[in-house]
This record gives sequence, structure tokens and C-alpha cells, in this order.
Amino acid sequence: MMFQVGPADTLNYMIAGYTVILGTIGLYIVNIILRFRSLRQDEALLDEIEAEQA
Amino acid sequence: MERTPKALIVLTWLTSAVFVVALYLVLIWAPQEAIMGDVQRVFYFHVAAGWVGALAFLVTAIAGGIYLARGEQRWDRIAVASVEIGIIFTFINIVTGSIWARPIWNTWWTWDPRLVTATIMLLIYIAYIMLRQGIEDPDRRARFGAVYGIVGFISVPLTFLSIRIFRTIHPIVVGSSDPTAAGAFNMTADMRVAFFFSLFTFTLIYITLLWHRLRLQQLMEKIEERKLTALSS
Amino acid sequence: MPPTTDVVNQKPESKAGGSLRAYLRSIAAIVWKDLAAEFRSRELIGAMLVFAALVILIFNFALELDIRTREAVTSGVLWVTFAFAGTLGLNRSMAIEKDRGCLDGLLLAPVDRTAIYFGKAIGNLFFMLIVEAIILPMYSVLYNVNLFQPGLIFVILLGSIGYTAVGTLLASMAVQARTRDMLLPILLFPVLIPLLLAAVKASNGFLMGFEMAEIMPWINLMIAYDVIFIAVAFMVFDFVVEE
Repeated sequence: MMFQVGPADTLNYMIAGYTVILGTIGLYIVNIILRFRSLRQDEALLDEIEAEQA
Repeated sequence: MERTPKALIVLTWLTSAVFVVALYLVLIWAPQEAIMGDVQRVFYFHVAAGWVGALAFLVTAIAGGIYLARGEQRWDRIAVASVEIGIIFTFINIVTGSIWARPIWNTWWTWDPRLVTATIMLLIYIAYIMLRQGIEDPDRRARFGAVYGIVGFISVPLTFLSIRIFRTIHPIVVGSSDPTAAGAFNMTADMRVAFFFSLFTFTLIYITLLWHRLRLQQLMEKIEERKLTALSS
Repeated sequence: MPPTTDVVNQKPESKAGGSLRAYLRSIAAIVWKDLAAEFRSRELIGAMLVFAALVILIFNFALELDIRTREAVTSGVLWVTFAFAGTLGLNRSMAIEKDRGCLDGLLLAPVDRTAIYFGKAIGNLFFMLIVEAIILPMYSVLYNVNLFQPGLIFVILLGSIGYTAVGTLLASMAVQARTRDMLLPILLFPVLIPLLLAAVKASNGFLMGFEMAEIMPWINLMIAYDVIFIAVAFMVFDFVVEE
């Protein structure tokens, strides 16, 4: 590293890094959305059950 | 569950916009580093993710303390929500650090204090999640979570200190002048703008995610309660 | 469990006057209860000892402990052995309380909850020290190294205090969880790392005859760890046993 002229070509590592960052945050957001969705389904189901019981 | 509050919708869009600006700043606007090349651009979000991880775990410890003192459930909600986000960002921090280290230190991994501390911190909070999963009674779950959140958070600086006593090769870019650390560099003014903007952006992301996650937690607790009453009736 | 009656019989008013003495008495009663129960059954220390001996034997083959490598890894082998045998003991000692309903009995007794913590922690410390007191000469004989140095003993004492201080707190949470036996090491080890690291380094320093100046930072770290975590456990233990 000491003797090279100009910047090293490390573009691939940068791309890998940003893929991880965007991918992980994206997956987490999807995970939250999915959990919300399944909870809302449960909620609808509970509403139904309660309506039947009433 | 009530409709999503307007403030949260606005905040979410604002955060997204700010994130795009931050991406532009770090990927295109900031100058290429003279020796390391493009991989140095990972540094901006790497540090920002580490900051959010530490912030999230601090919030968990404080919220846990307040929960123990007052016994109000909302503080426990904050603690759990924050832990999850902290785990995500600490993970990003470790993996991006490793990717950066490969071309610069010529290895994916070294036993440097910061790397090891971050990894142990990650393990502590995964253990936190596992502890909570193992306890059914919500009140006890909250209390144990708070206790472990505090114990774990206190141990982190001690872990860092203990590993620090070995020599470190991790560069300290902010507020240090040790030129021997491999991969150290001086930030230009433009880099500094990109750096602080990244910190700001990630803090904003943290707040937005925390808010969404809190609402999720609220819904989860409500459903859990309703299920119990439905089963018992 | 007859020994607990000491605790139960303590009158509430004795807490007000001479409260420190009453407090110490209740701690001593709980420690005595644990020791007496153990001397009768001998299952805890027996299991810890056999387990520790097995760990040392496995290390012998895994690491090929010949004379040269032995010196460098002795302190590491010892501390890993103590740490593993310790979780076994902690799990058992808290699980007994939980399963036999002793914990509920203790909680009903008019003693400060933190006295229960200190009682259990000191009891666990005793068990750990007994196991260590047997492992050390055993290791010395098996591998022909002299482990009886005051410095090393001091380090082992400091390490065991910190270990049981944190371990007792976390074990009393772990036994109340569904996944209890699995959970304790997962909760305990990441929090213990600074202590274990310092203990290994300090022990190694004494075994290799390093200068005190090189060992002192590790000793200081261990003292800081012990003090901090005893204080934290003292403050939060109430919430762990609350019903």
C-alpha cells in the first residue's frame, strides 16, 4: 500500500459493503411489515370470534 | 390499532428523502480517498451504524432502568424495540467493517478491541432476545429484560477496556493523530460533511424505525392480551 | 428443608434495631442452609468436580499438553474449566431453590431480598472455591506445575467473586425461564468476558513470573468488575425474585 501510485481499485468491496447495508435495513423493514400484516390478520380473526360469541 | 399518525408518515418520508441525499453524498459527492480508493466510502455508514447500535443499547438500558423504577409498560416497549434495531445496526457495523478490512488490513477479521467488543455486544443482545422469548409472564419478561439490559450494557465498556489493553490496529479517524494505525486517513472538509450527514441520517432512521417498531409492539401486546381472554372465555 | 427455619423464625422487629447484624445473620442463615444441604447430599460439588476433571482431561488430549505448550495455556485451561464447572453449579443451586419451592419460602420470610442474594452468592462462591481447591492440586500433580502461589490464589479468589456475583443474579433469572439450562451460559458468558480475560491474563502473569507492573492493570480491572457488578446485582435483585 505504501508504494502504490493513486488510489487502490476497491470498488467491488464498496459495492459489497453498500449491498449489505441496504439489504439488511431493507430486510428488517420487510420483516416489520410482515409482522404487522400477520398481526392484523390475527386481529381480524379475533374480531370475528368475538362477533360470533356476542 | 389506530391509523398511522400523520407525524409518523411525514417522518418516514422525510427520513427516506434524507437517506437518498446521504447516499448521494457518500457515494458520489464525497471525494475518493487517495490511497484506499472507493472502499473508504463504506466508512461513512459503517461508523454511523455503529453509533446507532450503541445509542440503541443505551436507550434500552435507560428505558429498562425507568421501567424498573416506575413499572410502566411503555418503557419496556421502548427497550425491546430499541434492542432489535440495535442488533440490526451492530450487525451492519460488523459486516461492513469486515468488508473494509479485507482490502485494507488484508484480512476479514482481526482480534481488535472494537471488532471483538462489537461482536460480544451483539451476542449479549441476542441473549437478551432469547431470555425474553423463554419467559411467558409479560410482567416478569419485562423485569428480566430490564435487568439483563442494564447488566449487559455495563459490561460493554469493561469488555472494551479489557481487550484494549492489547495493542489495537483499528484506526481512530475522529479525534486521533496516531499515524501508525493501519488504514488511518485524514478527512477532508467534504468528507467531514458526508460523515456528519451520515450520522444525522442514521439517527433519523433509528428514530423512525423505533417509532414503527413501538407501534408493532403495542399491537403485539394487544393481540396477545385479546388471545388470552378469547381462550379463557 | 429444616435449615431454613432459622430464617423464617427471625422476628421482623430485629430488622429495625441492630439492623445490620440482623441482615448479616440472615445472610449467614441462607449460606448455612445451602452448605448444610450440600454436606448431606454432596451432589452439587460432586458433579462439579467430576465435570471439571473431565474438562481438564479433554483439554489434555485436545491441546496435547506437552511441557512447552503447557506453560502458556495453563491459566486458560484452568479458567475455562472453572467457568464451565461454575455454570453447572449455578444452574443446579438455583434450580434446587426453584423446584423444591425453597425460593418461595425464602421470599415469604421477613428478610431483605438482597440478603437472599448475598446468601446465595456466598454459598455459590463457597462451592466454587471448594471445587477450585481440589482442582488446583490435582492439576499441579497431573502436569507437574506449581500452582500454589499467593498471587495466583488471589486472582482466583477475585475471579470467583465476580463470577458468582454475576452468575447468581443471572442464574436466578435463567431458572425461571422455559429454556433454563440452555439459557444460563448464553446469558452469562458474554457478560463475563472482561472478567475471564483479566483472570486468564493475571494468572498467566503470575505463573510466568511477570513483573507486577504488567499484572496490575488486570488485577485492577477485576476489582473494578467485582465492585461494579456486586453493586448492580444488589440494586436489581429485588426485581428478579419479585412475584
